[in-house]
Amino acid sequence: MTAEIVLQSVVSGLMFGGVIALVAVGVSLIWGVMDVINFAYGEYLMWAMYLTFFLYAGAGLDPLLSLPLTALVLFGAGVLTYRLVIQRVMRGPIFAQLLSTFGLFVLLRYTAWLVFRPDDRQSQSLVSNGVVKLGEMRVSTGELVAFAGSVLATSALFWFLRSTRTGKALRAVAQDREAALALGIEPDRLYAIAWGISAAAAGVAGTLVSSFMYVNPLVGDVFLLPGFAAVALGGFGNVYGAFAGGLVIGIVNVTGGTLTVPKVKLALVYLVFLAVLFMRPKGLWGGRQ
Amino acid sequence: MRRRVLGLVIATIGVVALGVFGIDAQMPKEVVVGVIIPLTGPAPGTGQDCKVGAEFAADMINGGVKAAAGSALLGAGWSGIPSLGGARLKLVFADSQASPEVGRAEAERLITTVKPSATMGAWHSGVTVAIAPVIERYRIPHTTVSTATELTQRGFQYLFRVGVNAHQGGEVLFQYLDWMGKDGKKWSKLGQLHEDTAAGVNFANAIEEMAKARGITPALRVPYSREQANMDSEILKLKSAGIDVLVQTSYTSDGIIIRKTMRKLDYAPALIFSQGGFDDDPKFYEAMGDDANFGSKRQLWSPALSSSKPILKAINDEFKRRNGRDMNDNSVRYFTNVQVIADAINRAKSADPQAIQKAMVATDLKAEHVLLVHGVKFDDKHDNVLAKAMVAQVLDRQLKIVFPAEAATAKPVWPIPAWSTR
Amino acid sequence: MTSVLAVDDVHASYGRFDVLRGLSLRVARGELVAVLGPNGAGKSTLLKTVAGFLRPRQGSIQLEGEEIGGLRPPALLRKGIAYVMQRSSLFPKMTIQENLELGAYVRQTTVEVRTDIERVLAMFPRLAERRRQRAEGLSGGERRMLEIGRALLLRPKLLLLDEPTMGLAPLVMDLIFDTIMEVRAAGTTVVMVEQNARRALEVSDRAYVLEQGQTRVEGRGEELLASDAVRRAYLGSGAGR
Repeated sequence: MTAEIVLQSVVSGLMFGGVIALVAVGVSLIWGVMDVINFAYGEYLMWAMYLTFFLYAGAGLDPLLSLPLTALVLFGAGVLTYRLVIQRVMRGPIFAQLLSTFGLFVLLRYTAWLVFRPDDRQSQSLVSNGVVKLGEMRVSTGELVAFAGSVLATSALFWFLRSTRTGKALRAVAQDREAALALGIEPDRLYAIAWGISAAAAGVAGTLVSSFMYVNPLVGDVFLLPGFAAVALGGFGNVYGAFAGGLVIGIVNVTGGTLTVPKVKLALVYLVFLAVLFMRPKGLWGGRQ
Repeated sequence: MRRRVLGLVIATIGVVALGVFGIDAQMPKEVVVGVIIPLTGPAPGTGQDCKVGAEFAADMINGGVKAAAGSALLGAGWSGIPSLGGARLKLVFADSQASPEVGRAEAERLITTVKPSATMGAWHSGVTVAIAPVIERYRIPHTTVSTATELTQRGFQYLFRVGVNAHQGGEVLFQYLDWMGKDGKKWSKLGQLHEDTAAGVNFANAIEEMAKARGITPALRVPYSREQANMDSEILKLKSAGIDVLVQTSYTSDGIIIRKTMRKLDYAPALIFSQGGFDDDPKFYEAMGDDANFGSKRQLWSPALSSSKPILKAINDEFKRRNGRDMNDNSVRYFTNVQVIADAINRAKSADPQAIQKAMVATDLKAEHVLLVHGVKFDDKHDNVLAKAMVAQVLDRQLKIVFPAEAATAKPVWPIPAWSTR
Repeated sequence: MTSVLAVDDVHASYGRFDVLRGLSLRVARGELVAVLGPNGAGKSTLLKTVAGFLRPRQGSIQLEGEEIGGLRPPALLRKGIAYVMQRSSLFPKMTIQENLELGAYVRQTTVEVRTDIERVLAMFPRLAERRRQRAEGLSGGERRMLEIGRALLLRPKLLLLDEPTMGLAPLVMDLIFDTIMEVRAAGTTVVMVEQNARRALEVSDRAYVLEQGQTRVEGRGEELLASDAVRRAYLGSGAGR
């Protein structure tokens, strides 16, 4: 186990972590704004991957080119989900809210199973097969693009939250819904926008990984479970913490697996997740955004 | 008086006729055989290969493959099962979806609704292990090519393994290593990379046993769960441990990710030996292009064998004409599965599952009777004592037999060239 | 007199609990009107109803002659009613600057908004020097000032203040009252619910005393202050805290 091997594992973990970070930000946004855990988040990612695949297989569209379209479609899906499902459930007890996203999870996954069957499908992209050397470290072009894309998307989201009128209104609604209402901000409209953005983030993540990961109805788990761990790590509701948490989880996953036994990589992620929840329940950067 | 004699004659004719047609009426028009394979799931290409292989054999047995005529292949000159008056062999397929739960449910459904006389399947060892108790309970004779050792350790009376088991498949690796050693090729560390279901685990266990029996200490074993996006830690582990003989069991999607990661991380062991799986799937070759080259595998047949057995060329050409590709390990194994079942039905002279099982125990087919390179004869555990494998290597994107020498059509490339040279 | 706000016989309830039972009052342009009374009299409820957080069951509410009863807060904001809640309603993790910006959420023009922000900050130098700091770091008095300042970003026709000096030290209280008077002097109509009745009467033009969801007494600030009967009945504990 040389230093070079360990360093390579950290670099690989970081690349993988970039996508987990994007997923975590998407989950964290909704959690922070309206205290809802979207259990179906991974399924939006999965459907985005299918959309990417069919655009690739049917129209020969490279995933990188179809990304804006997929993001747009997913945005619409998020808004629709809010208006048709979540908006109604928000007036009910917490239990109903949890169950509703779980119900969505089941619906989305098993519809995909029925419609697409469990076959693995793989898109190909311009960046699917290259290898880039960063000094002695090696990354595949696919994962480098996924990392860069995730960082870009997250930065765009952060800029949106920080600097735009709607972004600030969203943060206001998250911090004090009634006060926001008293200033003329319509919570429902902003919640719908938040769901749209969150789903679009899943769409972007799904498209980015399509260049190196195959899709089947179960692929949501691959990204969502580490994503939840990242959200917990970063502090529920703190999108910046969620991003950092994603990078950390990626490294825990790959480097942890390299240093110990690869088979337990996911278990290591959960161990970290549990340890953080146990010791600092608010996450490393806990508290609301 | 004449009327009575006439009446008697008519009655006799009637009885005889009734007897003749009655016997005929007891003979089935067709014999149903169930086939449980992964038609969908992570490796649909595999399932399709098994399906067309089986259908090809059934067609031959029913008299539809002229190319087979005159050969020693069992079923070549038939028009249906001879001892059953030409009853047609009918295959009914069920999709295991590569899942043990689904496979078991489908097996049960197939058996209870279609009432087959025999079954075969399920390609994935994990699924076959799940199905075995079901077919045993319903007492349906079943042939399989799955390699999991446990299939013949649990006393199943109705399950018959037609192909190699994990040990027989792994044996050829060590023979190959000895042969390479004589040729001056050196290696130092044996390692394993395998998916963690029955197929991978069984083969890895068998390899470990056989290695230790030969005084080789396996240096590292890396099991992995499928459904992952990033396999860097697995490959880094192998690279870090200096594994130069790598035994790999992977299915198609993980096989692709692993090979790509090997290139990315610049890991090229001297030998990659697979028991089959990803490297039998056309999708792997499509996705990897030249990067599929130089991997080796346990191989059970090759179109090139037809140079020693001309009939095989004719059969393969006909298959290629119908299906657009050469036969491979999967289509050949399932072809042979059907042959074994048809042979047992014929000798049993019955479509009754229990009768067929008794006949199957006594199976004695020589290599020239089947498409596989070896014959079929079962020991008391229902393993095929004649089963053996060869080693093939991917050269120019095609599998070519490299060992044993008498079957080889190409010289092996050892070690695998460094990635930077490719 | 031209009424900015005309409330006529308004009834409003929380569930089955009737709070406003036929309440009427008037507020003229440029006035600073205090709304006083014992706990449970309906003072806060009155403001909530005018601000659109509660729907009146009966009666009418008119803003400059236009019926607004039953409209929701965003619509009322656009009509120029700014409402500062009793509880702290700042966005704690957002800066002073950002809180002020959100005060102008319903307005469109950005140049004017920027000028208004500067004008408000000029009014509150303590806030100006900390404008990039998070609101959660402010003291009680500073928070109130920020809330009032934020409400002003609306350029409201009517400013509703619900107990602006609650929980503040006496010196700070004075500061707030000074601020309110400044706001009124600049031309904004203000309705102020207050527990500190004495001080409220001292600064306001007119006042209403509510009891059991209705107006009991109405009059000019100094009149009510001078009246012994009023003082004893309603203002007993009004000496400030």
